[in-house]
Amino acid sequence: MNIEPMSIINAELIGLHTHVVASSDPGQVCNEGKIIDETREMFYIKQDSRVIKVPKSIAVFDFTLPDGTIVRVNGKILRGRPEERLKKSLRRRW
Amino acid sequence: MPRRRPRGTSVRRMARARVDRLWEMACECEDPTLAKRYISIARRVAQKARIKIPRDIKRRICKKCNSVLIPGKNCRVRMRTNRSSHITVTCFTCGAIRRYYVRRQC
Repeated sequence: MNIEPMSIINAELIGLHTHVVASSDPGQVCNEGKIIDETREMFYIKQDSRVIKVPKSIAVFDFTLPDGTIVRVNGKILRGRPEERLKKSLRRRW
Repeated sequence: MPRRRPRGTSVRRMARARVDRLWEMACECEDPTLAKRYISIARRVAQKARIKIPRDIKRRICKKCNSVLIPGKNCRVRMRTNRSSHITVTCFTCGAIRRYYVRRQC
């Protein structure tokens, strides 16, 4: 599946490789791994042998898409259950 | 003025891709609880976007407990002819039985 960078809010994030770039909790910054589960507020990221939970709304993530491009996303726009993000759209004001 | 596209086509296309991706991951996943979680997300995505889950996928998941059914491993598949002929699939994780009626083609 090819994910376009703009449609990442509607895409499947489970299975993607991610990297926490910034967070209001300094202990979570620089964690990286594969997303194995997603709830409304949290990402479950698998690192080697442990699973860490990162809240979406306070962090900034770097996602590596299947074609290799890296997208930096503010976690605030990713809030919502996986099936609710399907119809979400980005509202941009220029 | 640009022509209006029928509503919801892009949502459905994305939903189909997501269902396929989640199904692939559920098959590859070794942890059965995680596989169940992926299947339940896939089913909710399909429900929300009002698309059908393809029949080949639908018949390989348990409707009751969302587990991936592998014949000989966690489900039993039998052909039965005590009523009209049908195939029963019994899930060993939850014990749910599903019957698929078979219509003979003349």
